[in-house]
Amino acid sequence: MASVATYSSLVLKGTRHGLLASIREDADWPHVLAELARLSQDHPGFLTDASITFDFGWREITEEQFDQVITSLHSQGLSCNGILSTSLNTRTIAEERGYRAIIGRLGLAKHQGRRMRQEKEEVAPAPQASTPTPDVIEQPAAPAEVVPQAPASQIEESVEDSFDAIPAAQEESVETSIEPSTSPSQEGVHVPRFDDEEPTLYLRKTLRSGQKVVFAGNVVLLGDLNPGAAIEADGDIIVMGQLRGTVHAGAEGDLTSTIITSSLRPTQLRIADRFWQGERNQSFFKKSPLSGTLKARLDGDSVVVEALPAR
Amino acid sequence: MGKVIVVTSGKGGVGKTTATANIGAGLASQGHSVVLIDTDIGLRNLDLVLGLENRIVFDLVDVVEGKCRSFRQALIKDKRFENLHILASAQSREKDAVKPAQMKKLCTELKDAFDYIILDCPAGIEMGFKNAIAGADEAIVVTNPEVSAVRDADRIVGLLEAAEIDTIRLILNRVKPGLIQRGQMLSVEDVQDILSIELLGQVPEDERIVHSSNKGEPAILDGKSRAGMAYRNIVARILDPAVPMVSPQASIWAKLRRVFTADLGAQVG
Ligand SMILES: Nc1ncnc2c1ncn2[C@@H]1O[C@H](COP(=O)(O)OP(=O)(O)OP(=O)(O)O)[C@@H](O)[C@H]1O
Ligand SMILES: [Mg+2]
Repeated sequence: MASVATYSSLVLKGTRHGLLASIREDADWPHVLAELARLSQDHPGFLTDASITFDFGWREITEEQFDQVITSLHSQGLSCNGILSTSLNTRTIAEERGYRAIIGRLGLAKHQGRRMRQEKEEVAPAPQASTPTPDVIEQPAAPAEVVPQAPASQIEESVEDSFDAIPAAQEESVETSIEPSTSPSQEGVHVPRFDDEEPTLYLRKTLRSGQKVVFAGNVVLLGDLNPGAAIEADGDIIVMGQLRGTVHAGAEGDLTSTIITSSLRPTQLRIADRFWQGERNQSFFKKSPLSGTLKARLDGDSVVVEALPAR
Repeated sequence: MGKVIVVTSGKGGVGKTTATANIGAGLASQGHSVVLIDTDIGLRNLDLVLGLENRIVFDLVDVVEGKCRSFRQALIKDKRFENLHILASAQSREKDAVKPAQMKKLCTELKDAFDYIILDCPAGIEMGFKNAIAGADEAIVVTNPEVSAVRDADRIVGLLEAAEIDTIRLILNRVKPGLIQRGQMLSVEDVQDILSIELLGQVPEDERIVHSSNKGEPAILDGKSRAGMAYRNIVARILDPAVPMVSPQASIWAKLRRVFTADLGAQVG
């Protein structure tokens, strides 16, 4: 069996919809470049002409560094599909060079010790924000050091598979148009969706009118969702601020998706293909009678909202 | 080194031009050198509000296209304040006659020569808006206490944030304290709850504004105008953020009514 390439500065994942490279947020840059430079050599054959989505996470990328990545890819016959980053500077640098950039991070290559994701039933309001104690750390989505961990043949298959899937996947997939000024179309970066793990997009900002986040996974918003703003997620949606805009959980039809918030006055709330009828006559002047931590879920055919018991 | 402030709103007709003229006149009256730029190409009216229409020779488009030797040739000096200048917009050109990069360059040049450069932004989020914010250091968002105006202001704040304009302050214009107290109009708190940006000031609804605009006299010069008073406070707060904000007062009748209804509420509750 061919030896499986290991990287310590990045996590490479073949997914159903494409190849994702998560750059470790704490790896030093020369090391990242060195490992990037041997990608195609490490995976001869199936990494030909591949287009890679990069997750830079919290890391601030300079123009020079971004260009280094692109140069390295091109010299190996690879290309960049787009990036994920929580940094506006980094996203701007990518966008200025014609690459699509989505706000957020998947957190596959983050520091040890942060909890990746909790089970649906026990979602606390801020799973990402809380400082985890060791006993709640679950198995991270991907061991940070050694990836891919599956036998090479299997990876190969999933990667090839994913390239076939790209054209079809594009319509049903992730898009964000955070800033219509920079990306006038609704089209955004294609973020791979994982078969084994739903990614979570963590946003720390206020989503304002006209801003829309569409994500193939769960979305956690630490900030307000203002009227005229929208979140559309294939999985769950958690809004830690005022929920006044439009939310659509389970947008691809997942009936188990939920929406959790502490302040519910949405313009529109949907789970899968069902609308919340909500309170009638919601006026701007009236405060919501519901309070505490609220959870919206599907009960049969209708969306119900219930208060979660305080712990 | 001067400061470039863009006055913007998203929704049209909320009072950007009025705010620009009054803030400009106010800053100039305090001894600061000021240039006001009307970036609303094709719909020029800042010059009207200031009564300077008859003196326009060159306009903004002439300046960026190099039709005059320098911007100085195009600046119209206000006779009332020797420190106040305006650069009029072109009446008969399209919005795309100016590019963001050109605006940025012009703002940089003006910053060397003036204390404040205030840009009157057109309504909307298209080219005219992009031009107006291109060279701005700070923004003042003007809105009215109406759901649709606030919605548009929120959109604008999002775009300003994305453009990394960090200082974004709010003027709530056409406030009717009486209506707010009767719960028929959004209150400052309602508006701030959504926009969550710093409030620079509130300007009451004031029919004298229309009169002063028609006369080409900014309300800030009108000692009897309540809006003028509010703009004096806004100017003071631009110069010194520690100056407390003055809120428009409801009429004595509205206050009485509030006392009355509050009492009723207490009995019912
Ligand atoms: N506080 C006020 N009280 C009463 N009327 C006002 C007040 N502020 C502005 N107005 C009036 O509202 C109208 C629109 O104001 P103005 O032209 O300043 O708005 P604008 O935002 O610049 O509009 P546009 O988007 O068309 O450029 C004018 O007739 C003006 O006199
Ligand atoms: Mg105007």
